[in-house]
Amino acid sequence: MFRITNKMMADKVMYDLNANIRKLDVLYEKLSTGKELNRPSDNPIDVTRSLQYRTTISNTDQYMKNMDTAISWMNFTDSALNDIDKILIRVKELAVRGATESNSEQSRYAIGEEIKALADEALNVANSSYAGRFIFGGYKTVKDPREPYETPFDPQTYNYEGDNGKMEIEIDKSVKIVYNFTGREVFVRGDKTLFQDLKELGDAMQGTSHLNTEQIEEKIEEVDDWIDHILKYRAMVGARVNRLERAKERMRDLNINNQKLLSEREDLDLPKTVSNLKTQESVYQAALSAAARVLQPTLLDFLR
Amino acid sequence: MANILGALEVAKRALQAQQLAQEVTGHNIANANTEGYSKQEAVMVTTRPYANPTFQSRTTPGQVGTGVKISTIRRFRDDFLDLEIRKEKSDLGAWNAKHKLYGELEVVFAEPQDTGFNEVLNEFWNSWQELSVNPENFAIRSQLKEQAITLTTAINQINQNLRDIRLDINEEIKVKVDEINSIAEQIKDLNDQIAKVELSGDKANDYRDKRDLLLDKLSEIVNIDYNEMDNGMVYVRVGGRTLVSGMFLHKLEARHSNYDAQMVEVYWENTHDKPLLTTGELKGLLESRDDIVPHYQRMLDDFSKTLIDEVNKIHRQGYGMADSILSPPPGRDFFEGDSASNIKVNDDIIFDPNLIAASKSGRAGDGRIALEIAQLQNTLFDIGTKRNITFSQYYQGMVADLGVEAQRGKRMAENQDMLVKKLENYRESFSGVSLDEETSNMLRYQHAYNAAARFMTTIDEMLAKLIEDTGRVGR
Repeated sequence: MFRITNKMMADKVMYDLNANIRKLDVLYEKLSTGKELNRPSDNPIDVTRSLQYRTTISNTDQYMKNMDTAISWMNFTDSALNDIDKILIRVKELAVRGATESNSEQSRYAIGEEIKALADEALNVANSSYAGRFIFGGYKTVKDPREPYETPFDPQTYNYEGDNGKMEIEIDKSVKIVYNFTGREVFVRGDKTLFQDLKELGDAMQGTSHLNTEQIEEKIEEVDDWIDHILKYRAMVGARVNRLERAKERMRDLNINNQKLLSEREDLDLPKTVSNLKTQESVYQAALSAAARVLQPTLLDFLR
Repeated sequence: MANILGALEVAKRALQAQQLAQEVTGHNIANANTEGYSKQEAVMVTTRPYANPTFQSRTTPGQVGTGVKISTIRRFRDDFLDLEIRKEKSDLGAWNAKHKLYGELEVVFAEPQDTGFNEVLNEFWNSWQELSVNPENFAIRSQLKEQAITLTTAINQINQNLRDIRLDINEEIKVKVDEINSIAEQIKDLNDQIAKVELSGDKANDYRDKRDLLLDKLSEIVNIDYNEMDNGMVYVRVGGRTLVSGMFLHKLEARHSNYDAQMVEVYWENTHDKPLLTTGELKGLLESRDDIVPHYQRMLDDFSKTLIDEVNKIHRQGYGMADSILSPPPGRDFFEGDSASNIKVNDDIIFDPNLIAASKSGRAGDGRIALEIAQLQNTLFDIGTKRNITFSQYYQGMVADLGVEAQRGKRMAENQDMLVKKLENYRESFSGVSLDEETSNMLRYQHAYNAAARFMTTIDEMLAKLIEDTGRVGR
């Protein structure tokens, strides 16, 4: 016969109460942290997934940040090119006006001055910086005493002092995009810079002897070419911004999706847990009252 | 003819026997909650009867009983169950040690968490991305420096924690060896006492209970086999070699290891032989200290080494903000060290973050080196024994391994515990004290004692009748 002793009953009660308390403890922990996963052994597979999602999310967050930087940089580039465009159109107007023979020498001189001033203004735009970095200097984004180097375009000679550096950022795993245009690409054609051309135009206007119409006509054509050239680059900037905006949109969707997947793995299913807790609590209550009943009586309680 | 004085003797024996049985009952009740106690029973047998010769026949009406005596005080104990329990307890000890260890390791590798190592690593790579976008920005260089220090400190910290766990286990091993020796000593002493008691034919029940309890405890710490010798002493072996043989004792010893001065190895005292441990808590502890924790240390070392090498390999090709453009790259290391314990950021870089070589051409706005380093995050490497794996995947795999092992350790410890509990329950069913049973025995013996006393009174009255009232006819 299998004897049941008092110690066995007490042990069993303690063991069962302990098991109940442990289950309650797990539920309390989940509720207090709000997390389904609190340590690797809670669910090794889900924990690994959750770590992977976290890494992917961190990655995509950074890619989006990179894209934001590139987009604002390019927007700034676009507005600089827009300024250049306006300057060129103004230059062309002046040049056309100055080219008519009816203009006096003085007024042509004044037009020439204005054109040269506009050349300087264009140079200033080309030397402008965004967030402390020259946008058209290639890798030479800041003043550098080592070279030495002051600005992308020399204000005296109008020569390009920058380099051909292409700034690349990563916008997805091993997908890189160039987001800068160098001064050489945008403002140098042949062996002359835009500013040199404009200055020459201004000089031609102020030609001392007689009006060299042919030379001016030639220069005006060059201005037209410059307008086309700048437009081409504005179109390229626009296309690249669009591409980045789309990529960012896609990245954001991906991110939201990953956040959701992460949350499904990691975050607590509150209704389920609370209802489990309630069940477990009543199981525990029942176990306690059973324990009270089991541990109480012995034969002694019934002997007089 | 019956012997009336013999009847008095019967009554006396009955009184004595019931009283002794009652004492045993009292002893049982008193020890109802004593660990290792086995229920005892006073075994009553009839005393030797005698033949009663009569006129008609020499032998009829037959043998006459002479009462009762307690032949022995029996201990309820099942040796086979003990054997079974001790075998399972050894495994329980081993799993408990590992379960505890994995609990500690899970604190070291606390994942998933917003502040866990996984995130620190992500932040580190992101800082390189940031630098690739703003290579000339001092604030971002400083931020990268800080993130890199956070990363190396985290690695150093994990490594230190693992080392500390090993040292803690080492202390525990010393304590366990002492415990084994102390138990062995006590078993030896009990062997002596039991043999002396049992020489006279008595059963040394309480001493045996004590010794059995010690064997239970010993079996949890080491794998033992044992057998009882004819004189009642036990012969206990660990891995086939004698620990206690009757009155002889061969102790174990925790001696400093030749490989690692801070660690101890377990030997048989004054020998160069190690005990052959197959299971038990001590084995679990040694395995934890020498295999499990070092496994994670090694993985972390391999991780650190590859990280240092790969980052430096690219970093050496770059220029810092102040490096001469005309000369070749200065070949500066970003990290120093070659393992998890000594990985750190180059001191020069900590002092001046402008020395971080982000630039491939030397120009300030060139972040190509920084980008190449950032891209290491998604590059596949051979790290340690793992092939074609990214740094994150390597770490995540490590955490997954730990999770699986911890889960297994917990499950095995729980299952083993349940098995031992079940077997102990069987033993308790056989050996344990039931208060109901003892109470009812108490009443039985009390009633028998009362009746025997009444019987004695009756005989006494009969004798009085014979002595005082007989032979007075006609007075």
